[in-house]
Amino acid sequence: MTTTTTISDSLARCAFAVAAYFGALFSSLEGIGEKVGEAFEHRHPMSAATLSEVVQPLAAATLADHPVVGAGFVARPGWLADRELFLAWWQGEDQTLLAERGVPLGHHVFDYTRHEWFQTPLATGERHVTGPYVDYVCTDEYVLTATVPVLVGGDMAGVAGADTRLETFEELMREPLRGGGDVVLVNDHDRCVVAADPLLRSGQKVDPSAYAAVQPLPGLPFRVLGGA
Amino acid sequence: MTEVRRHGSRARGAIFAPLSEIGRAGQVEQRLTEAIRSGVLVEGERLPSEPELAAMLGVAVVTVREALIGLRAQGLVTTSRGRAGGTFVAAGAAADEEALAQRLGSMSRAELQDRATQYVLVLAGCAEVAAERADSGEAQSLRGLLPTRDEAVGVWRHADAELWLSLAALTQSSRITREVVRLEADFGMIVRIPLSDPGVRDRTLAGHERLIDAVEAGDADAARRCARTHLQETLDRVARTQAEVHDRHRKPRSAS
Repeated sequence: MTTTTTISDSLARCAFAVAAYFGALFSSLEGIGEKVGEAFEHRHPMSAATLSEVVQPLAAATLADHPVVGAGFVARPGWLADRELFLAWWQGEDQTLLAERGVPLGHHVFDYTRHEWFQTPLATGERHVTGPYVDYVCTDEYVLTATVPVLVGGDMAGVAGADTRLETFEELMREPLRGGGDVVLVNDHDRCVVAADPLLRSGQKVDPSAYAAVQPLPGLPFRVLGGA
Repeated sequence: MTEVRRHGSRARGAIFAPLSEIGRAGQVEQRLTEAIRSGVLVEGERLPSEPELAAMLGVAVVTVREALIGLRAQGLVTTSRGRAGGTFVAAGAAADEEALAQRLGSMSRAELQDRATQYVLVLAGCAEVAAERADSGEAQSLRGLLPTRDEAVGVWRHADAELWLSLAALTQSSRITREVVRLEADFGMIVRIPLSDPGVRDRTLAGHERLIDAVEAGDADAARRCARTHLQETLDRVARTQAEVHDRHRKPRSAS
């Protein structure tokens, strides 16, 4: 009995910390989405330059308010007057604009729309967290990407998002996971995000059926497992 | 986040990174020239606008404008006006086969062997670890990077670089991924010389399909073997080509 209580406490502590972090981050992203949505209602299609003007201060605020390495809005093809693919996305200490970086036109392989961080929120209409994965296109880092769909009159215009380095997230989770035994946060691909066990590598596949206790995280593509 | 461009992607990141000192038009022009010659920026691709380039490179718009005038004069880009206008990479601007052969010929045989060993070991290792760590969806997305038989050699070279970079990312190690980005920027052009031969393209496609099958099956040993066999075969071709180039020039220059 005591053991069971301890496990559920550890699970709850971990779940609470994850929900708190992403809850706050998602409310910033919803804020970006709202402003972008309003801008599109006034001007559609919009130019990439106008979009950048709208997003830039919001992305800067997100970068200032959360421990993220990049933030912005990524347009769905067809929504901008002068660009098919465009990243109104700022990253790094110098807050570099990505724009079309790495988005050569005319070849499908360069199309970001096939990526989970873009595709999933548009397909489900829900907020999503992708990763951890190596983002070799933009940050060159091992990251978690949070994205929300941006709706304009019922239509999806793109996604607002932010990248958190896994190292940063691990740091935030260190205290909540301390003494957690075999508690592990897994994503919707059953991969470890962070674990109390130092031998369980982030990104490693986990068999959920090996764990007796499961704590879902409503509205997030994560579960906390324990009691293996 | 975005996975957007591939070889393109990483190598591109280096191209658009802010210049460390106050950029001059000459530096901007040179960087873009190398990117176009090496095929990182592909024919028909639209360059970012002048203000965007200025912001990315950390220079004044007027400096970018000056650099673009230089690129136009070299015939590397064309500019059109109007709604669909912009500056585009000109047709035939990528390094031709002769330029690639010259670059290969300027390397010593020892340097080529040294670089080839590093390239094969790193990428075969990536294939092995990627097979252990990738899930079937990730393996499937590798398949989406394969070019079709009738595509141009430039597209092939680009897609091939993209495939190896994606495989590196599947190791989930950002350091290894950055290492592969560096190797591609440094040596990728040389490794992809043999793709000018349609027969090699067929063999490459078959080799990549076997490799992706192994990754999808989670068979790390097979993935390593496929990657190694394919890359070794490719680099053997490069070595033979180099010997021909050296023969043509009689006096091979040693690498400085």
